[in-house]
Amino acid sequence: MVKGGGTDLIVWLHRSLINPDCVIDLTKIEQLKGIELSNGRIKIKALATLNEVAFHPSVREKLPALLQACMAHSDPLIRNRATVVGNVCSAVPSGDVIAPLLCYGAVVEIAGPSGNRTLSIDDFITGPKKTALDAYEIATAIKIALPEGKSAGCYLKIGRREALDIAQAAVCCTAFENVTREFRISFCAVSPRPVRAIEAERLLNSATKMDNCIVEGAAKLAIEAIDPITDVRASREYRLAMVEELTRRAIKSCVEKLEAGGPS
Amino acid sequence: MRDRKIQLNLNGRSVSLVAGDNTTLLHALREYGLTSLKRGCEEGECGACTVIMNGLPEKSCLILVAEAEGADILTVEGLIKDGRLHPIQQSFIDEGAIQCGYCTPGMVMTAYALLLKNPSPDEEEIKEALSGNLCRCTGYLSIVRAVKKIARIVAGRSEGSE
Repeated sequence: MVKGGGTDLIVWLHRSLINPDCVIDLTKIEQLKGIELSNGRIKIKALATLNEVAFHPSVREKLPALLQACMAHSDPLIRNRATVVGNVCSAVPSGDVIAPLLCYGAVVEIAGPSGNRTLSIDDFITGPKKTALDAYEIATAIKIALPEGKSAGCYLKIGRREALDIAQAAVCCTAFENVTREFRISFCAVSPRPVRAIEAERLLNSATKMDNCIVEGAAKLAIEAIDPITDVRASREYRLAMVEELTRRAIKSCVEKLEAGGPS
Repeated sequence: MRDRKIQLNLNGRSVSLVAGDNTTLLHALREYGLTSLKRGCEEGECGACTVIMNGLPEKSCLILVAEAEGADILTVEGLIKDGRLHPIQQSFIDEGAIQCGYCTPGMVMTAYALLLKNPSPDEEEIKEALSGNLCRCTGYLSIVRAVKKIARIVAGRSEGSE
């Protein structure tokens, strides 16, 4: 098995959930460290930690939903070790960073014996804890085109406590404004793999005037896009109710920020 | 699993540890004799095993010892100079921020790391910084008070302005 930050893997080893023949640790590979900017794109390399990403000036300025998702993850100590790319590779439905990466149209860079390739987050995560990585491939980075013009984003999470808790449900909303206004909505912990609320987005994007009626309609459509389960953290019914409310709040937050003159 | 020799800078001294590949930094340091690190959950939840690694607070149960090759590691043992407690430790004593004491070394190291980065944190910043360290005795109020007190001293502010 390949290890990045290891904050999942070492726990799985400790619980004897996995018993790999060997663990290949990537943490000494300099080329996989850091965050780079070029041509309006940010490249989050495999070993960039959640704190490194959250405190990067471009993330703070242009990718607020990703910033909030990083800060909603675990606690400040674990964020010094856990990586954004590792969280995507773990591909758990409750992975905080996955929803904003989907909204921001992130792509995963993959390296393997047969060369390099890229996949969208949507194509990369194929199911709970399942990715499109082949046996000898590793994810080396995630790339995001930084939004141009006005934009806004937020990530709203519900858990039983703020730190050290896995989401019961979370909603990510982003809005980009160039010639037209484009909303994107995605979720955490309410579907087996990443999903966007396409119908809710369509309603928001076609609205000439953003009023309560449109927001209500979008919140109702958002829950049509998800299929939550009942588990130890929350019931299906609670998750559906919370997603509707969080979607309402997330849209309103983005609209307010856009009207106040994003990016924020 | 084979053993390997790990060289690291532990509390300002270069030391070698011999440990198995699957050994966590927590286990290796405790075997070495640094028992300030507490073995709590071993799953990254409790923070009782917190060390400062290359300037950042981290949970040593989530680090394989081989990853610490060449790293600077600071534990509570390294805060004590000439047999005298560090002011953060003294502040915990003065404020009664200790009940069973199991979480205390981790709390002290996280507080130390916070003050390295931010010498005058406010209460919210202290609570946020300590949010990964759990106290089963729920003595959080006195712990936050102890960190506030030392922060005031570090920042050269007068006491009693709470």
